[in-house]
Amino acid sequence: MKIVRTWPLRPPAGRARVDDAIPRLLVDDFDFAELATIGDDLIVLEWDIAVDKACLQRFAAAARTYADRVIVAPYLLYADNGRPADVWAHRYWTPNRHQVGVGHVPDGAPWCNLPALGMTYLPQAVLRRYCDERPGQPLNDRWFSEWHYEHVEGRVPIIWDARPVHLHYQLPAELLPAPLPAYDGPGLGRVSV
Amino acid sequence: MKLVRSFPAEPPAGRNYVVDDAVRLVNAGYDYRGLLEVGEDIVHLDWDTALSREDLVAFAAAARSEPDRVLVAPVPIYPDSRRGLPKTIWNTRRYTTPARVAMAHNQHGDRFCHLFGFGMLYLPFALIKQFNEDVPDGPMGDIHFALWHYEHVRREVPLWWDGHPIHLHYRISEVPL
Repeated sequence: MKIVRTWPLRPPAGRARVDDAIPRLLVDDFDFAELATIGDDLIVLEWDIAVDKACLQRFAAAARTYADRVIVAPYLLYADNGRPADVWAHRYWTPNRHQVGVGHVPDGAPWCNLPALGMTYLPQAVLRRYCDERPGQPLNDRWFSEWHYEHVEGRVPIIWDARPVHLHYQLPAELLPAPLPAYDGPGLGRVSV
Repeated sequence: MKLVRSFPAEPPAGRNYVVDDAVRLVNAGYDYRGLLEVGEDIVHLDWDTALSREDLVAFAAAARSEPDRVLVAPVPIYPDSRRGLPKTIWNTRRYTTPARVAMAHNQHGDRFCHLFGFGMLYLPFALIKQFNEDVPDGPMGDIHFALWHYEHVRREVPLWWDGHPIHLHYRISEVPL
């Protein structure tokens, strides 16, 4: 099993992210199909997901337990990015999918139908099968999760004791100070943007 | 109250950290005197502390409930980031003897600490200002401030356990998978 961080080829300006030592896979237009070429089972973190050591260890242990199944860690999509409220990123088909559509999973839901790919365990066999069955189709949240639901497994376990932080949010405006004088060399700390 | 993220002027190679649009306090030698320039109460994050929006909002609210007191959110220190450390510890400590010759790291859930690091904490501006007046020379490192605070302000500093700040200072690519 390997860990990889997906990273946009053209990072949107002003977005928070994590700079760390995890190998990066540069992706264009949210197409993660290159993951299948790594040739191993993968823990995949998106560029704006922060995870602590204990959380990562618990998630890796869960991945080893599930082995050949996709699993996900829960993380939030924040209201300040255009939604009316914070929601969990993973979704499920509501009871009559053809009439009602999908909803975001509630707190503590043990599984989802449509996983988002922010922090995911992806077995190599599943990645390879997707690329074999959907050649040329992007491997992104939407296409991969719908294919996975239809052809692999209806329910994807959500590992709630592995809780990463999604950095894609706007800092509360009331907590942001005005820019301060720029750093001017060693010695006293100075503030800069 | 304002949010400030401190950042080393010369980041050590190979370290994990957060890039965001928080205003940065660039410091040299872990000297935090620049906090004085903000001129307001401060929620402080170190460069390698990641925090969710909900935890930031909740911590700021907790700080506002007692605006004159320092409030500390403990962050873990991992053995792979400090040589000789046998296990993960919290970055806060308590004296364990009246003569203050011994101390121990806090346990999860402890209500108070005596000494604290600056990974994530709330600092009232009045205390930043008072420290700079009382200790005008030398660096304002976290240990300098915490020792001064213990001696001259308050011994028991409340700990905030309701959130989950993430300390990125570990060898993330070497975690056994």
